[in-house]
Amino acid sequence: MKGFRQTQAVLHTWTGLLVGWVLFMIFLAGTISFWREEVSRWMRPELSVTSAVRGPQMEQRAIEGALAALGARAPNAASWAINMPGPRGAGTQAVWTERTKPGERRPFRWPDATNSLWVDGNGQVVPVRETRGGDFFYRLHFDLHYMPALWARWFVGFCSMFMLVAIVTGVITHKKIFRDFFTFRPGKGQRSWLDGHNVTAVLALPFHLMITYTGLVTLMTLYMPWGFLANFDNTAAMFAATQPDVPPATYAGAPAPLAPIGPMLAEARRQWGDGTQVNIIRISNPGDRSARVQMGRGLHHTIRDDGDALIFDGVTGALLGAAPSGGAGVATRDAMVGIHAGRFAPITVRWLYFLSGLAGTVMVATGLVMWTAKRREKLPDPTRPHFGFRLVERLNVGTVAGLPLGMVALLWANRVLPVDMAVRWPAEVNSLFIVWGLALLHAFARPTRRAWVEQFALTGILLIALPFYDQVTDRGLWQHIADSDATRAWTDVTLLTLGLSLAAIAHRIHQHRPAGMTRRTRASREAAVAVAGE
Amino acid sequence: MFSDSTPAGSAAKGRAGGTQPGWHIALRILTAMVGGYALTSAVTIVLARTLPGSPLDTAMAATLMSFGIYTAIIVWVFAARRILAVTGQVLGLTAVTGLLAWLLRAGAAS
Repeated sequence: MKGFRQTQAVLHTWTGLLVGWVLFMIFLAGTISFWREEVSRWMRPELSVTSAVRGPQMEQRAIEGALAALGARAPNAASWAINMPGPRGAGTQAVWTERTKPGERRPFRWPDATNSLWVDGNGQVVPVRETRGGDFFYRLHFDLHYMPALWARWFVGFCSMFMLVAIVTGVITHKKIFRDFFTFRPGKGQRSWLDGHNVTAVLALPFHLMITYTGLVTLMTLYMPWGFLANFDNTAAMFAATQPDVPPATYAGAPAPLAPIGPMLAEARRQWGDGTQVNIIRISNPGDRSARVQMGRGLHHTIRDDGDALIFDGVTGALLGAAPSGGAGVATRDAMVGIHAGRFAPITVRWLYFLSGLAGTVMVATGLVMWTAKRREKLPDPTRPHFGFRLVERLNVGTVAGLPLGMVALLWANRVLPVDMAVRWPAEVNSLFIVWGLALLHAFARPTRRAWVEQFALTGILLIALPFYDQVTDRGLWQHIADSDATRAWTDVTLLTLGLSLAAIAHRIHQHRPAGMTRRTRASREAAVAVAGE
Repeated sequence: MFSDSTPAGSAAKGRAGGTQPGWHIALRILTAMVGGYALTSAVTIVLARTLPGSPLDTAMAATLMSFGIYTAIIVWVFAARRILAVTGQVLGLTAVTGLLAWLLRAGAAS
């Protein structure tokens, strides 16, 4: 058994180090994504609490407003899409895709100032700064950035598989997993890192295992298509089996007005059951005889992440088809995707998701730091470590402290860039990666401990300053409380708390005097360990 | 895990690395990653063809299990004492399961 555990420890250490930095980003971006709607609200301050959509009447009014705006702005579009706000979001987004000439291929564009607009709860168009909002963090989580999504997804899947192996081997590596559960020995150097790694890993172990496995499941047709290809001719045929059996509409070129949306919404609510919301409406060939309306269900009432799509004839308003209800295999897959994304989660469960995600992020970070803490004392000369050690040490600072700094820079860019700036959201996103790059350079230029302190302190201060900046320049925490805008008020409180936590971490690192670095204390520690029989 | 750096631990070390030639660890990684993926794919196909239910359901169920199967194979390959033996076993199992998968697929086509 001992040999088995030893090989698993080696496997755990190296799989963890190889993909640790990427996993840190995946974990952090995923954790933030649990607040996707809140982050979007924060990044679009033009949408006030009155832009929220509550109840069927408001829902219909917002959709009708969006349709009117789309009809005025893009009457000849190939398709329209209406993204409804979730129960914690605000504002309805109307997006259009211009018709292309036959044979012409237009690259995909995220909704921006040139192809989308916003309507508030009364269905009126409101000017909103161009930003990706919380959707950026959601996409960063599995599509990364600056690279084709397909490559990114393979890379993320590769790292997730490493993570799954690291979790399983991590459990095997532990002799006393339940004792470790209750063990934290602060201020003891490498021991504390190990305990911190264990506490965050073991405390939320079911979550980590669940989130990694179900994360792989969300993209399983990409990673493991062979089971599907054994039963279907190709993956397109497989996806078709989950969709309503309605042939795609071909553009007729004959104008015909769109049927009123109200009866279609009523039919959708009847099909889905009371209390369900629409998540997205897609209309292909609007204003044409061939118009089709597709409605996807909101996912806030069910764990199963199936959009349950309905397709209507756009001119007559008749229901043409609904998604087939699958058996046990499909239901299990939908539930696994559902518990990964947590779209169903009410606010208490959402906080647990967020805290577990943070624990996972800290687990990856402490694991990375431990790699250096473990090896520092074994170095021939700790004052002059070899190249590999220094590289890992600096990359740790530049990622674990540098990425949060870059993310806060993105939030600041959202506030300080001109509101009507052209190509605005790419500038916001670029600011994240520019600042992250600078943080990496800084990590290589400064002594390690100073670099940790400076980057954490700067991130903390910038986070704390955000709500104050809002209070001085625009509407701040007082107004949110006066407006009973709980979402925005709690977002500000959370930003302050995170900022104070990072500042406290910076302060602790600054105060910390590394123990066991001198030869004398090292010898006495080894003696103590020997006495303890460990 | 650090407490294993005692005499018993260093005895185990002889197997885990150190005295082994470099290509042993390379072969172990290759067997775990590539061989493991091939064997997992073959097992997934066999399960997708043999589990009860609609084609979509069985393909879903088999694929849902595949990541667990892959993980188990990786752990097994790294836990094995003799790398050449375990590589042979993974290859042999992949060949047998792959043949079975091919027969089941051919049976479906006819």
